[in-house]
Amino acid sequence: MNGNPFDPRERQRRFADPDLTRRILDRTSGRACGRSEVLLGARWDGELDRLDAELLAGHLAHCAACRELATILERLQPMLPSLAEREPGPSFTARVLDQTSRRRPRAARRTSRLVARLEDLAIRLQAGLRQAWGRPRFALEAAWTAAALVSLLVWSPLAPEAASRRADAIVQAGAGVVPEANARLGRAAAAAAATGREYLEPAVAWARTGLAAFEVRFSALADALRDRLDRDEASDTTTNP
Amino acid sequence: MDDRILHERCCRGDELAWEQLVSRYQARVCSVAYTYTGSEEEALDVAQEVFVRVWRRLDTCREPERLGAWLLQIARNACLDHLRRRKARPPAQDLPADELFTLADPGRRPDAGIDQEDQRHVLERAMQRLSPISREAILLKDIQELTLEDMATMLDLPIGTVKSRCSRARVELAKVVAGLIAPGPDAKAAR
Repeated sequence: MNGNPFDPRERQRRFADPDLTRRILDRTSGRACGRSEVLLGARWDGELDRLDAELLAGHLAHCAACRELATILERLQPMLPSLAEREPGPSFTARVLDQTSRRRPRAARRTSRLVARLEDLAIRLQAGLRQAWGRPRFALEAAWTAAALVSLLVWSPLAPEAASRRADAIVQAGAGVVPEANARLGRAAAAAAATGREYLEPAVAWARTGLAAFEVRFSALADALRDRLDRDEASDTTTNP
Repeated sequence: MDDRILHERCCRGDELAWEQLVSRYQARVCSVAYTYTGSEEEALDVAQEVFVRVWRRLDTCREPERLGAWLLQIARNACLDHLRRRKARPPAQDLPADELFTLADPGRRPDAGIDQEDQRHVLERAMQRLSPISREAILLKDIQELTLEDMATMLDLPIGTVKSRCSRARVELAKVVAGLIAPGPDAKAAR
């Protein structure tokens, strides 16, 4: 018996076929499983409103795959917090304490940190000096220092009478430094071409500029010294004819 | 003793308080490290490294009452550093086929559940098969039960993004679990 085809309930039962729904969805919007999964994820946090819950229930009623997912999700929810802890074994605490207790309490740690910083500074200073010694412009810097010392020696009011002569000798010796520094810079430039121009060339250019400035100042200093020596000699001849 | 007092004592150099803190959190840290690394041995090494970092930075914890979340943040960073050093993603270790079949009982229905002993095993396997983003979302939200706000701060993401990540991750996990407990090809053939 097929029942009365004109009975509204019978018609509803016959046409409430899930396969028919699926076939229609396949030809229109596609399956609603994607949306259902979003709602299943949200349902976990209890954030589903009444309407969405109703729609989801309607989908689950005829979609076996989503129903299976829903079942698994329901079972997973209380199980997951059991993974929150994983006992590492009895020796773990001891190992951690061993690694951390070697450090002293905070005040002591601060002192040792200061000592460590000072040591670090000393090491850096030492390394810096060693590096400076190997630099090509070290000769130039030494020449600058020498020039500064000579200036102090010559123009100081406490400078002895014969100092100007000694200064002249120092200046003469210092004059040899300039070509030497130039030669070393030339060698550095050649090395730069081989090892990486982008780093060394600006440094060499900077050093050359410094050297040029030094030469200008050095010649001015030499001229001043010569003038002073001439004046000294002139005064000597005037006082001791 | 609550976390705030424990933290304060640790900062003053109380070694007993530090021991208490390590005991209190070591299992959680190991769980997090295991989830990220997928290896028991590496997890132990990373967990130790986490506590050394915590010890060094105790005085930088700004909200001691939320010590757990702060510690998990350090654990996460240590795990990511470890993975970076290893130059690999968290391993998605494939199960040997025979192991898969022992998990998949032919007569078992998905809604029949799995016994208590297997639960953890299956879940850990499933976690290792998730994408790194989903694994992290499940770990922080559903396993370590952090709040969405804590997660958003930790991951530097908007809360809405965190929420949708969690939602997607749960479905992904459910699908992986379904795959693990589904009957294998041998079982199908035997039917």
